[in-house]
Amino acid sequence: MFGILALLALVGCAVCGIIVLIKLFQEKGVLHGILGFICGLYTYIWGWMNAPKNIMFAWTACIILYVVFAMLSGGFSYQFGTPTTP
Amino acid sequence: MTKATLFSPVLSPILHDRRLSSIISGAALLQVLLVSLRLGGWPCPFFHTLGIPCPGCGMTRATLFLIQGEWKQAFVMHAFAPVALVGLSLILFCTISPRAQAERIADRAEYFERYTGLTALLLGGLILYWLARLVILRAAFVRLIHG
Repeated sequence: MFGILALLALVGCAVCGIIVLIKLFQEKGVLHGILGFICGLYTYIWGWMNAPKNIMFAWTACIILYVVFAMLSGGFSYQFGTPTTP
Repeated sequence: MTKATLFSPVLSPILHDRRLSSIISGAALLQVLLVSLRLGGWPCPFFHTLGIPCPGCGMTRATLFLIQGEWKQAFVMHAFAPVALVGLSLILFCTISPRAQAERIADRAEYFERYTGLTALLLGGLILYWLARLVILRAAFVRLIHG
């Protein structure tokens, strides 16, 4: 249940991110847009400075909800560690 | 794509904007700290909804490996980690430097970007690198990012 809610929150994050990314492409050009595509954090920061605040509040809420639901569903489904690839 | 687009600066506007560079520096340091403490950090919505790593996935861990001196691990995780580390170091340096010095560095960076188009080359190269990993070694790429 919480896993599905976390996934929905993540979809919300993706949608908000794409909206802000499109705005970034339109206002700052292709290279800044590519940088925003590569680094979602840059898009998020740029969004707070230049995008409509309602989208950024929605994005932030989705992030918080994702973290909460992911923790309630039994922890994050991935863990960071030393990769074991050869 | 016109020459004006390819040679337009990307890093130097960030270096010129003190507020933006300080926010980016703070966010980057926080991200590195969270990942180093195994607390997660910025969740990639593309990877966790679609199962497809974005071009920046693995960059934080690769940067951490670089900082720790584990070059091979860093390049396995993300080959563009040195580029990211240099860029972030410049942003951090301009944030903490006196304004006059930061402006000089930003002006030099702008001249370099406009004259060489290096930023466009690096960003384009990073996208090609991502596409190559996705097309040729997709399963291994996803496993690597998943950890």
